[in-house]
Order: sequence, then C-alpha cells, then structure tokens
Amino acid sequence: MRPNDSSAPLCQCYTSYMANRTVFRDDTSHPAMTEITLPDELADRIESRVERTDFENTNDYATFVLSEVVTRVERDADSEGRESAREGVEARLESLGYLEE
Amino acid sequence: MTQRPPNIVLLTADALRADHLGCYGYHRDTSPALDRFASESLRYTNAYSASSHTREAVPAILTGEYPDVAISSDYHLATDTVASMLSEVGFTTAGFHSNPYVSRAYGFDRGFDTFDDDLHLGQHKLIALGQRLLDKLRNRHYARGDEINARSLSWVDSQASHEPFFLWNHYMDTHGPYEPPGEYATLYADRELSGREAQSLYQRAIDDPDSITMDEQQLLVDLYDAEIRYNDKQIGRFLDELRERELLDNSVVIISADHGDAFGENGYYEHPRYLHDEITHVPMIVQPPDGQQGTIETPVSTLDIAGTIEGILGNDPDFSLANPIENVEADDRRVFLQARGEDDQSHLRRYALRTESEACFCELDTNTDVIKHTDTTDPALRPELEAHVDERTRIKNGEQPRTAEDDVDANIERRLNALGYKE
Repeated sequence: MRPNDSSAPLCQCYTSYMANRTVFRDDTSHPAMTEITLPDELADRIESRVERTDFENTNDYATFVLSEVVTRVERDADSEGRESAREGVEARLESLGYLEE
Repeated sequence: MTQRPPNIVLLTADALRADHLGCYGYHRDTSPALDRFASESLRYTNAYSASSHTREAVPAILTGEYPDVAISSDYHLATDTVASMLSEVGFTTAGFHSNPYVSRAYGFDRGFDTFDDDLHLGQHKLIALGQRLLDKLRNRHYARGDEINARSLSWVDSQASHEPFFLWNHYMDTHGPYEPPGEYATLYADRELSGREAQSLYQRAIDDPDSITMDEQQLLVDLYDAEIRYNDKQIGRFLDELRERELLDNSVVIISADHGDAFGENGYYEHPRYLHDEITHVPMIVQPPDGQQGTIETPVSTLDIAGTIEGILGNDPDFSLANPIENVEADDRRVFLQARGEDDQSHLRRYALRTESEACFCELDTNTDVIKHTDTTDPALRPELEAHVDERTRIKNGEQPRTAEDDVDANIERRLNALGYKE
C-alpha cells in the first residue's frame, strides 16, 4: 500500500464537506492559526482517538495528523513529478536522435 | 543622465552550418531573409562555435566561458550567464527554445526572468504524459519557429517600454530529424517523407553512416536545406515584427548558431564530438544600433558574444563583435574550440585552433595526458595549440576534486531546484 492512499479521504473532508464543528481555535500561544471546520462524525472520531494518545487536546492531535499526512502527500507528489519530468526530457531527447528508443 | 542601453536580441539556430546560407556562398537560395539582414549588418565570415554540439556550445554562448568551465562534468550549467549579468544591471531577460539539453532540468533558466523551454516540467503527471503522447502522435520533436516567435513576441509586448530587455530565441527547425513542414517538404526533395521515414533515416544516418546511400545523403541535404529556408522565413518574420514595433533601431541583434551539421563529409552525420568545419563553422551576423555594416574575415568565436554584450554595457571586453574597428590585433587573432569525447571516447578531449586561413587539431587523452596532433594546415601552429590545451587543463584541474557521491547529490539538488520542488 502506498503511504498516501489512506490520506485521500481525509484530504477530501477538508475540501468537500462543510462542517459544523470547529477543531482549531485562535490560540494566543500559537500565532497565525486558522480555523478549519469538519463534519461532526469525523471530529467525534478524532476526539475519541485523542484519549488514547499523549496529546493533551484535539487541536494538537489534529495538527500532528494533518501535518504527517500532508508531508507524505507532498513527498509522493514530488517523487512522481520528478519521474514525470525525467521521462519528459528523455522522450524529447529520443525524438531528437540523442537516445535510442 | 545615463543613456538607456539598447535591447539585446540574441537569435541562435540549432545545427545551422554557415556554408548552407546564401550570404556564406551556398548555391541554393536557402536564406533570403538572413542574406538581406546580413547585408545591413556586420557579417563574420570566419565564425566558429566553441564546440560541436549543444551541451557544450550553448553554455559557451550564454556564459562566454569555454565549455570546460561553463558546465559541470554532468553538463549542468556551472557559470553565470549573460542573463544573470544583464538582470543585475536592470534588464528584463527572457529565453525561448525547446532543446531539453539546455532546459531547466540542467539549470539553464538561471538569470532569466522568463524562461520557456517547451518542456512540461512541474505540471501534473497526467498532463505531462498527455502532452508527450500528443507530441508523439503529431511527430512533434520541438517547438517550431513560428511557436518560438509567437511566445517571444507575446513576451515582448508584455514588457514595459522604459526597461531594456535581453531576449534569447533558440530555433530548433534546422535540427534533425529533418521534416520541413508544408510546402517546404518538397522545396528541394523530390518526394515528401512521412514523419516515421524521416526519423528512421536520420537515426540510421547517426547510428550506421556507412549504410547511407548517395541518394539518401542527397535527400538528407535537400531536407536540411528546406528546414533552413523555413527557419529563415521565421527569423525574417521575427525581425519584421521587431521592426514594426520600432524596436530594431534601439537593439543590438546577434544571429548565430550553436553548431553546424554533418552529411558524411568525414564519415559521420549529425553533430558528434569532432571539430571539423561542417559542425563548427557557424553564421555570425551582428547589427549594432549605430548601423555599422561590413564583411569581416577576422576569426571569431561564439564565445565573443558574451564579451560583445559586456561591451554594449560599457565594459571593455577583449573583443567586441559590435565594434570591429576598435578591436586591436584582429588580423592575427586565434580562436579555440573544444569537445569532450563520449561513451568509449570519454577519456578524449578534442581541441582546435583557427586563424583567418589556417587550422590545427589535436586530441588529449586524459588517461595518459598525451596530446596527439590529428590534422593541421600549418604545423607551425602546433605549439600554440599545445599551450592552449595545457592552459585549459590547468584551469580545469584547479577545480575542487569531486566524488561520484558529490555529483549525484548535487545533481539531484540542482534538478529539484530547477523544477521548482524546493524552496
């Protein structure tokens, strides 16, 4: 299984659903915070998971999870992009007679 | 008050050999637009590329440095280009081309505010893949001259008029496979080749030159000449567009090529790592804003382009293509060329010296440090060429030694940065 497969539904939550529960709130100890809304069902699941972690609150736990997932997605996207770029350069070089097809 | 410097327009064609142009004495009327422009400009009859192929030749044009320092061992740009220098003094800079060897993937966008290499880098994988498939279906190997013109003119029109600009257009039409478009397909050839036929013939000429018959050799020349005529029309149109915008009178225009192309004269086709005339003698046409015209026999190099640009900015270069009268000792000038061997000849470095009428060639074996003289029209030039090789070797060896791991790491980093994946 590729590391970012499990992340897709979670990412969609943030773009597709309008939520009614506030997960992040302004916190003076964390400058430049932004509020994100989630579906109730997902927020409940996150809250229930927090109890089994060392995180002190939902905000910190959700921040950690999102950060992990986004990092993995970015890493995979970069890897795919690099490969695609390499293939693009090689395809052009082949058509110009520099590389054997 | 400081006078505004002129715009600098550098137009280079890939694989355009000088002796196939009308203004350089060719028997076919391949270049009416360039001929006309040359008659109003300074035309250098003995102009040589610093090398014989794009990976070494274009870096030399853009940096004014010999390829041995202009690029790294893995052909990435290793020295600042004139675009960087011009940016620093207030020029807006742009480059338009479609040769992957001098693309962002090898760091050649350095110093350019706008750089369009026709590669779909940094786009979504599916979009890039779709574009590649489309190119393959259309048998599209590069952006044609009309595309380069449209892109660069669109950029010109977007520029603020009070800022000088540096514009580099590199045209690929004259690079193989030779498939002249539309009516150009049968301009000189008896019949039109399919894209697959043209590609197959070109590839066979590279891979198995001995298999090319006399008729096929002539066909390759006919197709190449038609590509020149097409490219000539595009460069002519581009110059007309600049003239219509009243930009030509306040611009220095430099037209040249990165190298030539061979058609079996020395047993090979295309432009491999040799230094014979067919692949190194290039056109050099320079139109300064002061209207100087003339034909000049002093030997010049594509390396002189960067120095010429420095001279335009008020610096004092050793040699300026835009100011031939002020060049001292021009009559006794020498220019040098170099090319790295590749594959089973990667230990060889080829060098050449050109005077106005003589030539001298040698090979350096980097495994043994032995110089072998391969050809010359004047044996008295050999010591000069050897001294040049020694000097270049000393300069090259002055670099920090690099390990293979260093190269790999640096390569990845450079490519990531070039593709915009890192901040």
